[in-house]
Amino acid sequence: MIKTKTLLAFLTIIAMNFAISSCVQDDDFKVPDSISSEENKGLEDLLTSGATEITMADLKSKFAGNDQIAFLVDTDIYIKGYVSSSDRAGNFFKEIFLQNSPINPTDGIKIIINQVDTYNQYNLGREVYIKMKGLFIGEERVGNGVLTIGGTIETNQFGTAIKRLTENQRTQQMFRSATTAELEPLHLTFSQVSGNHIGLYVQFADVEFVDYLAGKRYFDPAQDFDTLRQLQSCSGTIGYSNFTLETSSFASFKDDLLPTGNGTITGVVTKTFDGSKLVIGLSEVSDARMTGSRCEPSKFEDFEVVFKEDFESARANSTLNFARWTNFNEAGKVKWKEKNGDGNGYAEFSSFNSWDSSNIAWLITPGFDMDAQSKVLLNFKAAQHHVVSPNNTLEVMVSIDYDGTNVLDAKWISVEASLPSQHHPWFQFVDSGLIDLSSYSGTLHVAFKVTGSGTIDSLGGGFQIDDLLILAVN
Amino acid sequence: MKESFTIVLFGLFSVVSTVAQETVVKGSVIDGITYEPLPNVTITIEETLQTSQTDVEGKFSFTTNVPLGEQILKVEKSGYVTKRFPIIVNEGEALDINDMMLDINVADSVDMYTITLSDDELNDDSTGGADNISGLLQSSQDVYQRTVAFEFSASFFNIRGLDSENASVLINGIEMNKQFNGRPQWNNWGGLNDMFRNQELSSNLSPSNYTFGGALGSNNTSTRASEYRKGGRITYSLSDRSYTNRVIGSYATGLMKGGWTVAAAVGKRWGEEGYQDATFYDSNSFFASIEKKINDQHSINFTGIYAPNRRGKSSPNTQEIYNLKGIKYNEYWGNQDGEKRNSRVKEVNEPILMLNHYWDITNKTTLQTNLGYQFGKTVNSRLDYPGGANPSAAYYQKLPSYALAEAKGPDYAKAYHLEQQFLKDGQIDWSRIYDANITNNISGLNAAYVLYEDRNDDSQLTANTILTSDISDHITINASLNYGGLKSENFAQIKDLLGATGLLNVDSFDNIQYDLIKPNRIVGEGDRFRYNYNLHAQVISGFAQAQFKYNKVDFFGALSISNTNYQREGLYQHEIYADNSLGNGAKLSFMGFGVKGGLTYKISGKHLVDFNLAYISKAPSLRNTYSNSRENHNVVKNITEEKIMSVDGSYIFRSPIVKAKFTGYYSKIEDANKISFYYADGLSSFEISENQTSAFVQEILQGIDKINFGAEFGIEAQVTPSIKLKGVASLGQFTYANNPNLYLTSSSFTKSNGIDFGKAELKNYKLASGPQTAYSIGFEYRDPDYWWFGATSNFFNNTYIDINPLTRTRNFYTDADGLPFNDYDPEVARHLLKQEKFDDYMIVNLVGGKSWRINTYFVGFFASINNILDVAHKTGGFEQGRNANYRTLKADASNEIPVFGSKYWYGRGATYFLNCYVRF
Repeated sequence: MIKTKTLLAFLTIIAMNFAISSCVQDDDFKVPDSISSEENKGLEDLLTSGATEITMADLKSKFAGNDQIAFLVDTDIYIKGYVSSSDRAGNFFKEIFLQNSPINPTDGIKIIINQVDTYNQYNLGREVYIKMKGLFIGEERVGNGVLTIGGTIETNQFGTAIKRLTENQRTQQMFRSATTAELEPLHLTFSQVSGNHIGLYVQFADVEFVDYLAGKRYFDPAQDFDTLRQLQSCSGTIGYSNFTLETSSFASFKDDLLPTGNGTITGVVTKTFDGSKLVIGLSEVSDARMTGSRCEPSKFEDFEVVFKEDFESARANSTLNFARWTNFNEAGKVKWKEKNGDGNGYAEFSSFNSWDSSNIAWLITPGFDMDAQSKVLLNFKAAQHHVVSPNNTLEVMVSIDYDGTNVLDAKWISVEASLPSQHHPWFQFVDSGLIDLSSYSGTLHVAFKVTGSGTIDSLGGGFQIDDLLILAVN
Repeated sequence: MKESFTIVLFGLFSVVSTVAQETVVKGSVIDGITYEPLPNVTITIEETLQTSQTDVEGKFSFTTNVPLGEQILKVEKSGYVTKRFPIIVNEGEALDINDMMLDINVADSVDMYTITLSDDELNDDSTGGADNISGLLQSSQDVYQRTVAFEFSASFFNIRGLDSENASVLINGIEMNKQFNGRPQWNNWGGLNDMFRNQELSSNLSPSNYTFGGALGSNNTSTRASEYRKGGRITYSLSDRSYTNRVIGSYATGLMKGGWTVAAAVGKRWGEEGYQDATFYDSNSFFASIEKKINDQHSINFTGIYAPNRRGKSSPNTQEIYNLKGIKYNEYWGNQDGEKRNSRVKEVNEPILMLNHYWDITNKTTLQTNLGYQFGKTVNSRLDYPGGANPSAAYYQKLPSYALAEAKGPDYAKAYHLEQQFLKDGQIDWSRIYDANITNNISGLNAAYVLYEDRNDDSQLTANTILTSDISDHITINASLNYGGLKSENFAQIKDLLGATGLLNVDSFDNIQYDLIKPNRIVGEGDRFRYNYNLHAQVISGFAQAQFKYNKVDFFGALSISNTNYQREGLYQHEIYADNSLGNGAKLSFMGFGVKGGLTYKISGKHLVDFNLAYISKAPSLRNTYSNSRENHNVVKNITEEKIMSVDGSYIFRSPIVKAKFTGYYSKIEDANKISFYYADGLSSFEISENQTSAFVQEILQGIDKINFGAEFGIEAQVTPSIKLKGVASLGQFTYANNPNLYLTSSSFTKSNGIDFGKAELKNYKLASGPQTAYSIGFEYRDPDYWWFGATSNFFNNTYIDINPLTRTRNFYTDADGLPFNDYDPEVARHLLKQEKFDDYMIVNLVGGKSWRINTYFVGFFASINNILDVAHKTGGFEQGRNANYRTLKADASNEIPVFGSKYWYGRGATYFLNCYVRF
């Protein structure tokens, strides 16, 4: 009797135990449905809030319009961009670059946030919206030329610098859409890269590391933070053209050997820490695909010289007066001068001591018959001194309807050339690269146009031209 | 009422005088309700303190040196009300007292505490080195030990400052201490309290009939089916400590036809959240014991125990975090779909099977032969973040102190932002983790985060045989032979990819291959990764003991010898240790030797003195042998056996009203090792890759000596039949006794044998072994109408932080060139290295209950409230290994709030426990 009862009681207990289904945390967690729903809502709110979308170019001009001084955005605007960098490998730190379009981008911008491993959230190609109101626009290091969005500012003896967004600001101001675009890298040559390319995902083809780096690694342990490694290219120049790869000491691939072959390298154009130099940075070490055979640079002997002016006959400090050349002062009273230093003659224009409020000076070559050869190339060397502003410019242009006299009546077309910038050392001649003029026919003139001022200190720099060649392929 | 009851009982005794030369006192004991014979009842003749245990049939006898005249016979058994019977012994006569009845202790205090403690803090890894001893002591009758078990253990008090690895825990004569760390894994039989009552404790250096034991003694639990009281019991409990609900049912058949006896129990304990946030609890327990009595001499018993247990762990935290979030804060969890998901779950799932053969060779000699097999897994889960930021919201860079400690001065705005962020959320963001992995899927990348498990799959076979022989009335011989074989598989395993498609089996920090045999392997859920190796251990040991008992003096001597072999078998080839990780490592062999002896001198029935002495050398545990077993075969340099020398002496006073014991003890431990793993910042050496100053290191502290000495005092007084007063004091001093050698190893170091930092100046630093001083006073009131209550007040002080030994080496004051820092100031250094002592505190506990008898049923309940004053108190803590030198430590200490301040455990505030049961 008792046994039966106890047995029953016992069975009841066992039944109770198993009837109590596991009401505590079990192992079985699924991927939650609510992932990033909050962020989607944030984006939706932004897009329906009546805020205005502006372009990155607009943002840049706002900064330029504020005398390049960092400022707080207080209007309801937002920008849209596509992530062009990745910190997965540690080569970028608490910064994300955005570009305005997945293909053929024209503008890029940097945003700095207090977050590591951003790549697993803001992945390469991700469409990102930034609500600008309440954020700052400026530079992380004053004057470095890298336009940056930050969360706050800090003023020191150099000026007002941008600082990172806090975690909280990031969640309130940065929204991803569901779109991850396939980025088509912008194809550039070294000589084409300019400050306008900062933040863009670009690719250089047919490049290699300079010869003496064979056996070296991405990072040089003698450096504290970043290592610069020189790249070279054979295409488009006589001899090599060069560019620089920058690698952080925190990059996971810092101890990898540099590739010794020739190929493509894809990354983001940025600047060195002090802003003195444009460089390319890798998101992934696999973006350096340089396994082909190394290139042979073009040599001078490969070409026929159609025209050559080395200015060796220049008489120092006289107004330039070479046969068939045009020396024209569009504004101001000073013209291009002949110069001779250390036995080297060259042409120079400088507004310094002109006391003209505006100087525009043209130096125009004789005309060349473009129809005599099928492939015609231009090459020259240029240098600068005392140039401190991007508004103190040297332009290279060509015309096929210049009559030899009326400069301003002709149609002048700009050509891309590697020119010295304010960041180049003074008096250092920069090779222009081989500029292909084959597409022009008839009689062609090449013009060098300098814009400056004799009354504004920052526009009083000098530009020098030497060793101009018109070459034809034999 | 009680007195009259006793008289009635006395009247019922069939006192039979037989004609004999010998003076004999014998009899039997039965349960007052069921009238079933009671085994394992301790019978004491109070004047001479002779004791005897009842056998399976409830019988006992005293045949030698029985004192004459009016005597008091004390009859006691754990869980029953102790009774004292007056008897008259006449010379040359045999006094036979049959069927003395023992009543169940309605207060059932043993049960009360075993529930609240053994389920609870026992073997909780999150308490660091301060593991718990209460499971060992709960069967003790001694007021000091009971107080330690029930009042002190929640404060991580350690008897004599010694860890539980110094106590041997046996089930049916088979040692259950783990080879890995020498400690018993109480979880393996948790929730089966009804079945773990037949315990025999041999405390400290006193002799045990089963084993040599350690410096804290031994405890043997018998699960032999015939030893359980016939009947059943159902218990339900409700609490806000580690679990919310508990149900246990148990039943024992008593001896049935054909010589069979069966005892079984089922239990379940569960709760969404314990005292700390998100510490869920989920445990089931099953127990069965079946005995077949073959004949009067042979009996075979099978026991099966299965108690799978899962629980959410809680984090130690810095004071900064406690100040912001309170003492229940736990950094290990976060919300997922409205549920608190804990990333660190501990699961213990190790069934035990035992076969025991009991052979009564003669009525004086027994041989117990045992075979045990235990297998299963111990699992600890955690988040790994090979491609993501540290997921903890309490990561130091996310706390205000980090902004306040900026090199160019405090950044108050940032600190405020961080504080708000931490206050607002402050938990793991599971959505972000899933989002990161899903984002990586888009980019074709591997997991940024995974949830993985550190698994330890042991299978242990134990065989032994234990002989007990009363070769004369005065002399008992014990001997045993033991074999134990362990295979321990250790590996990491992916538990949840959290939305990712795979994980790369490469160290993401430095791109080192975990396994060169299969480089760049992509692993998925259920796959092993990171580390994978087996440890093999074999132990052969023998034990022999002789116990002598005479009128005035008892003494004993015991010897033990053991041989321990260890071998590591690597299944992965680690890139850094390519020649030293795969296949079998060297075979290690250790010889252990133990000798102990003791003497009790009975000045009179009231006054006794007791002395014991032991010297034990034993193999270091696996944990303290292999310095970095996950990656290589390396063994602690110059490894040798650990030695303990221990002495104690006691004065014992017993009167019918007052019982008191005063003990002094001294223990010295020599040649101990300690291995720690942490991320060290501020290392000075040219031997680190690329001249870095930080690395993930293994710290090996070798040849540690410790001295623990002190005094224990316990007194209880039955001032009226219903009121008992209790007082306990424990005063100890536990210190490092030498300056052990310290070296570090790391895969970031250029030399695989590590960097030797020489002596760590530890001598006279206090050991972090809980409160070194503790006091308790209390009372119990037991009403004749079966209700009762009690209260105790407990005081704790001299609790010290666990120091970081690396900061006590030359690394602390030397620059990378080996010369002292030029700004080193010994005064400042002394201040920086002063060991933190925690605040004193007082804990008040209340307990009370009532029970009823309804026909043959007992119904009862009790309730306890611990720490009723809700006193916040630190029970332990450790210095972080981050600031390893003078400059970094000084810089951090001068911050308003240190960034790498010590981490602490807080004890619980006020908690309750309610229990009700039915017995039949």
